[in-house]
Amino acid sequence: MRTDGEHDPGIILSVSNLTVAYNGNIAVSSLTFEVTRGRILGLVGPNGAGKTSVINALLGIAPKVTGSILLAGSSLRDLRSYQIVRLGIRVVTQQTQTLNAMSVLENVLMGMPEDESDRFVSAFFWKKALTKGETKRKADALALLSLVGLNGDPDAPAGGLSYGQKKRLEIARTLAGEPTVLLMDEPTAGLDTGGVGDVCQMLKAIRSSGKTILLVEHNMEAVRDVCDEIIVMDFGKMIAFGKPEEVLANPRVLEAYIGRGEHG
Amino acid sequence: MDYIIHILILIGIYAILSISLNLVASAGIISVAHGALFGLGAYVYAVLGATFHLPFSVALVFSSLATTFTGILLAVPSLRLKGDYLALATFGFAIIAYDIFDNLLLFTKGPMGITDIQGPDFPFQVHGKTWYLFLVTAFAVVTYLLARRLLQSPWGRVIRAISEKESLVTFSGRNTYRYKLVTFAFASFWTGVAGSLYSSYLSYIHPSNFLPMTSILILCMVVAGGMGSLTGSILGTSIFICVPEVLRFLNLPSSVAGNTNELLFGLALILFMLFKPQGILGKYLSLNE
Repeated sequence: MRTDGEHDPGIILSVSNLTVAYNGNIAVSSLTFEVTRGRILGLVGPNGAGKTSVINALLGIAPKVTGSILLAGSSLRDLRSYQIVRLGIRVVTQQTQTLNAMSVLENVLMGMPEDESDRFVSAFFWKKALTKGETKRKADALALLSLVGLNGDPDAPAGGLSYGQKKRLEIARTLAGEPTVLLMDEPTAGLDTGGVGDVCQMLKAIRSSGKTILLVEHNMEAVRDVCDEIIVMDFGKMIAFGKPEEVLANPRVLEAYIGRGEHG
Repeated sequence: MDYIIHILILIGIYAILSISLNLVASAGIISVAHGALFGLGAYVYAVLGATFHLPFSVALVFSSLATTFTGILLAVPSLRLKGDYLALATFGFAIIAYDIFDNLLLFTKGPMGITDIQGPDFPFQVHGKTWYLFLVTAFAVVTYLLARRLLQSPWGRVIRAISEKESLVTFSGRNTYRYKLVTFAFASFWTGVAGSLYSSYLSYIHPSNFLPMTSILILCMVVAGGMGSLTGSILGTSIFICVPEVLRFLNLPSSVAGNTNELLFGLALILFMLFKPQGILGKYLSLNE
């Protein structure tokens, strides 16, 4: 791994000496890693290893963070969450997040980057160009719904969707933000085997489109299937890094998982 | 007939307040300061009109700007709070505002109130209550149309999303604080308009017109009509203005009638929360689900 301060254009996300603490308890300790552009990096480890804390730190919602986080060479430290998101990071959270009272289409539209039509004054001075822009946004949103396999009524309330459909909707909304880096916190959680396979296919398709993914995942089959490299964390520290097949055969990793009764 | 027109004028003025408060509620903000801002608007209009003899339109604009500015001052710290804490902070403002209306004798003349407040002075003189009804209705219709336009726009989509799941909006790259602040400022502007209309219509105002209870009354109108439904706000306003008037015909002693009103408002709010939390025409089951 690179340790110098120069920015390598091939590296989209660079984290060094990241420490995250909650009420004095260290959740992540001096973690250093890099994510290569257009690849999927898996972040695995037993429960409480600090994976979600890493995601929270990247999103600017962890309470106490030290160390450096660079997105394409720009520091994310001291930025508010919405500012970090605007720089190109988007997240699919562990708990499915949908706007249940709003329509499926509106959910995707909400994921799109803020533009001129979102302005307060635009509501009263609705120009033809803005209407055209909104029409295009709706067309793009429908295309994304189709991409994730949600071909039902786009005007139906999102609250009526099944768990798996909500997960797809969340992925469509996240993609609507045209992220450069996608943080995915256990996207296969709660899905059946078919659903897991669909999500894996979707992740590969997203990677093919040039986007980078940091994937937190418990499902080891999914990790083996989609990740180019993985980091294994235990007690807030990195204990292994490399290709999935090699890392998952590492005795220290096996002990961290199997030794404490965790299943992959 | 004059009596019915009087009731319709009050419905129009309070509809402006409930529609604008509904916008605020649509962004997930429970504000109990609307009555205080309404009072501020009424007093600013009264002072500018009665003391400085500014024309109706100029005094109305200044009054609305004053409530907008004060609304922003209130919102800047308050909107950092959530849910109950936000409601309590705004209610605190309503209590302070009432004390100011009651004690700042230099401007408000305290419990004596301000008298001889001038009415509109448009090129066509607004004489009598019928003309006043047209004027108030025109303002209420404009408020309704602008609020509807706002809610149906992409901006409205964002504030509706904030009320349902603010974190999701943040993670779409939007500064939710700015959206809420601007919505609150816009709603505050209309409290100034309503206050000016009220002040110029009655030509006499005093602090008891703007008790902290007034803020709760406006909130009741929004809750009963349904958060997110502007038509519901008009319906809620009509109910809460008309019910006390109906009580008048029961010939209750005045000391009992006032308390009965408050009792009924409180009871109505509890019943709505228990059995129809989304209100009569509301779309949203709950805020900040």
